[in-house]
Amino acid sequence: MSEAQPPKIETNKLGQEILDLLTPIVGAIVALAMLDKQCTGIGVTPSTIRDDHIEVLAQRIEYVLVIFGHDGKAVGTRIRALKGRTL
Amino acid sequence: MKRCKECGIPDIIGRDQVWSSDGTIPIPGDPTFRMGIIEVPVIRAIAAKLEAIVGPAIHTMFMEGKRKNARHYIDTLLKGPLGFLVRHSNSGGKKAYQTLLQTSTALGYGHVILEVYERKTRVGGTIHNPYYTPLFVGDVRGVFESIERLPSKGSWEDKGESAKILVERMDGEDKLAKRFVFEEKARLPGNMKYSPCKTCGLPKELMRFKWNIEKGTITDTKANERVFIAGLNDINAVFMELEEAIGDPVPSAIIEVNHDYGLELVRKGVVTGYGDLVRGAGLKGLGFTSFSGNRERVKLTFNNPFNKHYILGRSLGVFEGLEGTKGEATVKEQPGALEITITGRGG
Repeated sequence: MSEAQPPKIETNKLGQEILDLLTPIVGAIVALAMLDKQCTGIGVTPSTIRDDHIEVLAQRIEYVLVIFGHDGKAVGTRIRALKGRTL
Repeated sequence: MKRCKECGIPDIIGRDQVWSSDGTIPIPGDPTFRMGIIEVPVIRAIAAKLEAIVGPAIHTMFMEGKRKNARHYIDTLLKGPLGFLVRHSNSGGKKAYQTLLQTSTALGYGHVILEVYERKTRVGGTIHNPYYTPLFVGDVRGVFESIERLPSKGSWEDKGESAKILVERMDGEDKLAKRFVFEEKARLPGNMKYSPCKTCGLPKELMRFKWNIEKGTITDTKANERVFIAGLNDINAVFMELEEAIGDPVPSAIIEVNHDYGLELVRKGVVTGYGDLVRGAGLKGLGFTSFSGNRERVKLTFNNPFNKHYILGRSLGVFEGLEGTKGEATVKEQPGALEITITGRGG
């Protein structure tokens, strides 16, 4: 079976920081797909995330990470910590 | 295991499932609980495709999905005095596992040998010819949780044609207690007609499936492939959770596998027209289907479709196989209903 390749998506600095957090946890493919899906769910894209989206994104990512067997809350806390850092 | 003298189908299949005119197979104790006949190569191919995307976590997800619904299924079977006896007598627990694991052979899950049982602590054994080991571990977890009334954790070790499995009491928080739960939005009527066996009442159309109770397998002799009977909500729960997490890669995987499978059904001569697709879907509990149109444009209407992407992929594969050209689909969805219109890409 051919190995799946990560999709290509554009990110802004916040989007990239979230990706950098998620990638070591779930791998590049899932991290990209997860960020893209959760952004779509709140009507933004990984390149238009702003500080005021962070809380709801953190909540959503916390929720979905649990099914992968990860501690969603710990990751959520790290995502929330990005708020205000990338202005 | 007793079988019907006329059609040869194990009695337990008719006792625990009802082939309904609406294209579903509910269980007698809970009409909302849907069973279905799933092709082993299809579920394994979907799992493999999703594993390439999300890694081995996909197998744990399938186990979780099965666990919830298996527990509900067993709760339904163990209602009333029987349940009390099983849960409170000294010998009832082990006997119940043996009986329920035997039931799983009739559902095509494989041949199970119970090797370890400590009440409220652990249960384990070997499954030969497992249909898909993570789903089976989920089954055993569901049985454990229903009988012992305790949360569980499960593990397995695949050994080629068999697998060692162990289910143990879970200590600490069950973080997935409320996850992997799928509820059907609506159930619509249908007028699926079967030829009932005069002795057991099951559809005679099921005689295309051959049960090997020793091996714990069911073979669809028409397609020459292995199938199993399982709760459809279990599988939908996994698809739903994963799609909520990562989006498009999930429907893409389900559609691609089912497209290839639909194409294969035509190539094998199992499906020679849309009527075969319609009858096959109903018999397998995937929904009540009707079709209209011509070679350039086909409209398939499903009441109670099992899963939108599963049905869409299969329909596209069958269209391509029958018409010799790739199809493009438009999909309309309402609670309990799915309408797929496929046109040839050339036309």
